[in-house]
Amino acid sequence: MFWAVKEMKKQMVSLENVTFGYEKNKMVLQDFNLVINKGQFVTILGHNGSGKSTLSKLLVGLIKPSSGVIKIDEQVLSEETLYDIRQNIGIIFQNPDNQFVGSTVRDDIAFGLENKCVPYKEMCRLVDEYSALVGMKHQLDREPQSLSGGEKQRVAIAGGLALGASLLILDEATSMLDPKGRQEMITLIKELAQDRDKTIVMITHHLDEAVYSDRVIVMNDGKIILDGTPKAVFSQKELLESVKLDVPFAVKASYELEKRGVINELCTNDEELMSHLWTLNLIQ
Amino acid sequence: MDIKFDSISYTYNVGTPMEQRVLKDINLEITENQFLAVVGHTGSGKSTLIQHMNALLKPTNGVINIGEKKISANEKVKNLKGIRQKVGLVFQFPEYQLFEETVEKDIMFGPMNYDVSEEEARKRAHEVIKIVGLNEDILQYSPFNLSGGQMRRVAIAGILAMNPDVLILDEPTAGLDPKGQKEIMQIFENLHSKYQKTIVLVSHDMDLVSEYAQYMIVMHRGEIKLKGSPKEVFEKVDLLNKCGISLPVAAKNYQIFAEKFKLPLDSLPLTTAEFIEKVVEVVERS
Repeated sequence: MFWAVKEMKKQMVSLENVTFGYEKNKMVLQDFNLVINKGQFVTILGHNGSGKSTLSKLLVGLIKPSSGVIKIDEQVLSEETLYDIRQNIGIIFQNPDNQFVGSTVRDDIAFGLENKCVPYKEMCRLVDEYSALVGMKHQLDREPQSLSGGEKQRVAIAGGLALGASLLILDEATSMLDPKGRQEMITLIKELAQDRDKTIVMITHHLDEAVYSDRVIVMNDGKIILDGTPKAVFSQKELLESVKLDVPFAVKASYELEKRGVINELCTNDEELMSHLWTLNLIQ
Repeated sequence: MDIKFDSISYTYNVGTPMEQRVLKDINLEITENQFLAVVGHTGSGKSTLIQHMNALLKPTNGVINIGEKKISANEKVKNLKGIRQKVGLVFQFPEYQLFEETVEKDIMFGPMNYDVSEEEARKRAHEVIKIVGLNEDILQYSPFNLSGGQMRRVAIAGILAMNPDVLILDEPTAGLDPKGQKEIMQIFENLHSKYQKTIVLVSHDMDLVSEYAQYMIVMHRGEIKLKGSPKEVFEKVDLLNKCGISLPVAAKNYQIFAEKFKLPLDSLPLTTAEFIEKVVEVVERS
């Protein structure tokens, strides 16, 4: 049926049997398969050395797989398509200072557009639109040294989006921010996925950030060991701890409270834990 | 060695239109072998405060005693070098400061600047690399071929090689994964308990603060708003809120729980285990 086909979500990222290693005979990823749909907010978790950053480098073509096929927006990644595909991807790295190239917020967002020879009028329109989207519209003349880390990261996101990126990769982009900056970033990218149909791949080792995503993938030793909703993934407390990931407080606490017979279900976030404890109160 | 702040104020750009007062009447005593945490949100004056602890900044008003040395606004103090050897300051992301060809040379650079012989400096490099939990083989590697966590440890080892009595750490766990955070905090805990070092920890992570610090101060707009043990400080929920400081996650959750169950907020649990005990107690009682 025609309408059924139309309903189907497009695949934004697909990796088929991808193998890669920095050294011969020592593969970081082996026969790796992964599909991410358009508009999905995916968190990739894993401790250092689990292969998650290698994955992000493969997606933007910074490194080339030794075998297998990578597709971005249904286009096969190769030397010929690399330039076009990169227009479609925004990547935000860990250190906010390393990716701020302009002397003001305005210049920084315009930098990529200038390289692309976008006409001046169009450029102004894009800078206005995307600075507003990331909440920096009234700060266009501020200089990098007066911006917080979180603000710099949001400007970097605006720069990527202005170039037309529909896939955003955040490689530990929140790890150098203070708690407030981190929360603002998470709120922004969640909106981008929900309201703007942007695909988000967030690489992190903060499990409490993963709670807000649609799908959580846990990597260890170059393999996907868990893949599902935050709730499904966090309920595997022992498996997560065995790969040295620290589970969120609500999981830890509800796990213990379940053992002590206080509640009867594992909770993945604080609100859930509280509502369970609250129903307990109502019963009595 | 004790560090004592006596009515310290500090103003940036004195006498210019950019004048900005960032520390106001700070009184603080850091005693030997204390584990002190300094918290406060961005812009509260934490970094300015810790730069006074080894005389990188001189106060605009007041007197600081660092061991035997007295530092005050108008006096020129000679031989600050000694202070900087005794009080080691590890900046945020210290791994960006690595520069030598090998890890060994990088660690030896500090002590040799303080007239330690090459032989002695090399001996120290071999000692401190073990204290930070790395293998001696790593000494011959280039620091730029190491992982982020390893680079951070090498940078810390470089400070330890100067054999300071006081170690000041500005956000030492930022950017590390949970496993790396735990390991690096264990190093400081070890330096505190086994080597009797004084530790000053600046952190945004209240769970780390409540787990490791004996004593803490809360900075807000250039003033010390609260001081005491983590247990005491984290009870002042309203005041912490005003300073923009969150509670450790267990305390935060217990606070919501206590409100719902209309319980008194006398002592808040700081760890998951304490939280469980308190909740079980409430449930069993009712």
